[in-house]
Amino acid sequence: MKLLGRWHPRSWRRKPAAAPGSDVYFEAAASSGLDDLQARLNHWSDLWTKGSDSAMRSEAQRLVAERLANWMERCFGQHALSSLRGKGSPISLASSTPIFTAFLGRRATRELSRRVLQDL
Amino acid sequence: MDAQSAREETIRAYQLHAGVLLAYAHRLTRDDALAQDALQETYLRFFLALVQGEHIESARAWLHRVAHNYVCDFLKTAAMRTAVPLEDAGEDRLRDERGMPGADRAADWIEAAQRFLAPREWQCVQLRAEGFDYTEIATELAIRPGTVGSLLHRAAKKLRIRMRKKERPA
Repeated sequence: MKLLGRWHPRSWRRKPAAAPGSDVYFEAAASSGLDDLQARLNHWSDLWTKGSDSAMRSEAQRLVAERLANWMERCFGQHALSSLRGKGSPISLASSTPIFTAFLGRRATRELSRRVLQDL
Repeated sequence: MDAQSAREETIRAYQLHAGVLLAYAHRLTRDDALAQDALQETYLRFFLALVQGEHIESARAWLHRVAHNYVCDFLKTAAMRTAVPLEDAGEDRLRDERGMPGADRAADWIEAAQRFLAPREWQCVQLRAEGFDYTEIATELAIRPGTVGSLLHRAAKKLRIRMRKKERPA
């Protein structure tokens, strides 16, 4: 029996098509979502870092500051909010995270940040 | 960690684990769109955790846990939305709920497994099925590796008993 006669380079190199449910399929499906994630992360990074010191505040930054103020008032009361605001700079995610983490814990602060950044 | 580094780290983790995580989410949900949502949400939370200074020992374990919790929460909420009060439920509906549900419905399947496995046992089985070793599962659940072995042994025993009961003729 001539086994070598059946061998052909094309058939040897042929790769199986990505079937739904296979690892290749999921890898391809996951990579298609990378652009969305990158865009969202770029936006969130801007909101995180430029919340307090930028002169031109966008609508999203204003929304973040407003939501943070609401949460701060709910968690610590009006007095804490006014004393923090009295220091000059408006509230941002970066500046408010330490105080939330100290009093609420890491997980709750992460959830709070997620809600603040909802739909942004 | 600053936002820039957290973003880069998140993208790196996405490139490394997203395929496996999507497959995991898909196995839990049996729904492409929901699995994609779970994937995106998990990585957004990963970014927030990093930027808030959380130290993540094993990114893979952390991502699987968060994806698992997200899917379970979503399915629980969905189940609550469609829940019918007991007095309104007909006899047929009650009989269906007592039987073993179809494997294609992830919510029912999770609910059924949770009926006979303790939460910790179920978590261990899930993580083990994903290829985590005992040490990784122990780190993930904040327990000792020996306890992981005990929990898996107990879960396997329960499953065996359950299957034997099903095989036995009525």
